[in-house]
Amino acid sequence: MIDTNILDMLGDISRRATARLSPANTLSGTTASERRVEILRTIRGTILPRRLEFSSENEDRLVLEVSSSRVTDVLEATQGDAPGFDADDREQVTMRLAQLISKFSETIGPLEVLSLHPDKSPDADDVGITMSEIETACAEIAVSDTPLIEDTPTTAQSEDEAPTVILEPQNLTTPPTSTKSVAHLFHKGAAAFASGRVLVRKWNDTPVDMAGDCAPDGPLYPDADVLAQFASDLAAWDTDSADAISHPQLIVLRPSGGKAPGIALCRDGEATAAAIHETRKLGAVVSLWKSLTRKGG
Amino acid sequence: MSLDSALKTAMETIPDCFAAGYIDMETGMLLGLQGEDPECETALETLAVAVASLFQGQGIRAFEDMLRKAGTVSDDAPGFGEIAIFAADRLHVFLRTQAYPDHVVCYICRDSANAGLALTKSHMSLRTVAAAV
Repeated sequence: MIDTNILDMLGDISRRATARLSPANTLSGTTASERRVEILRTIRGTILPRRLEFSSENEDRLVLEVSSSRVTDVLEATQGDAPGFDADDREQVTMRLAQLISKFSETIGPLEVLSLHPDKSPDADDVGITMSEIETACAEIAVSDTPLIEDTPTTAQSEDEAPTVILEPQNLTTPPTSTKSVAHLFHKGAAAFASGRVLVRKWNDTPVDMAGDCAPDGPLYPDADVLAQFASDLAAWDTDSADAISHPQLIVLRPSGGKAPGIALCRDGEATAAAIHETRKLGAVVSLWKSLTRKGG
Repeated sequence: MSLDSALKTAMETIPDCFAAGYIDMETGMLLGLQGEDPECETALETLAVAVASLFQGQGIRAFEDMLRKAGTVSDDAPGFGEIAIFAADRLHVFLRTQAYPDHVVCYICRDSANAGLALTKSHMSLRTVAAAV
């Protein structure tokens, strides 16, 4: 059986594929708002200690020290003063960081990012600024949606008419998850048996919905760090298992023994729905999955 | 009994099972393999590398910690020891052995299998397979 989605995806990959001559990755966004989202996504996806060097053609640079999806220092910023992580108060540091990221995302021409090992190991007291803090601060800074790369096809819209986008923290990236995706439907259906539920987009671990015990005031509320780590695990799993296991997929994690709860992860390439359920409700989990993936159903 | 024999015997008891492997997560290598066709070997080799992200991932461990803190799991509970993955027309069962927590037994079944029975039979074979290592 040939899945047309897989063929489309492979075609898209082959069209975009180019030989890498440098360890740096080019940010694909052409507007400031898209690039800022990519910068934030890069920070969010950095779990191990790294020095992230963002650079532009005209030699503007923003070098961040990142660990566990948190920015622990600004090592270089050519477009403004770096915040003093030791001297300034946390709110000032966060706002200054958001300004630097926003300013850098508005740089004309292509942008690149290089992820390197840090020069020194992070100190035990390097708490850093969390993604949610940076996103909230960024959301208060408007950036333009005007294309910033010359050879990018542009619309006839004049610069004066270009819309200014103010991003809400929870919507910093994206088209909403389709309400008909398998993961979305699983998230909805799991309300019948799950004690806690979370729906997360694949490429951005900002939750679309959190319910039951996983709601913000619930005992199993996963904070941004847990979600970032979880996203990182699943990304590694996808990378390594792609040749053997395709999407959509249902992953059920169960305890070694006893009646402790399990977690069911329904993933469709667009989103991941996590449902925490009692072990004895595995039958309901499997029934829901089969009803959603049944051919012709 | 050799590991391969133990895997083969286990496969015979698990409904619609057509491949089995014994994985060392520490090295990502297959220590034992039984399958009906060459594709099984490739799939199991791929999964031998991949499955550590699920059993040993930081995010999964963070979830286990959350469950412990919430009191839904006892502090000395060993965490997730079993993973069932449904995808395309297959059911993959991964079971961590108690004797060697870095070792995982994997069974691949057709999705026509009764999932509950496949899991139960997989469990029942675990001790024998682990003892054959």
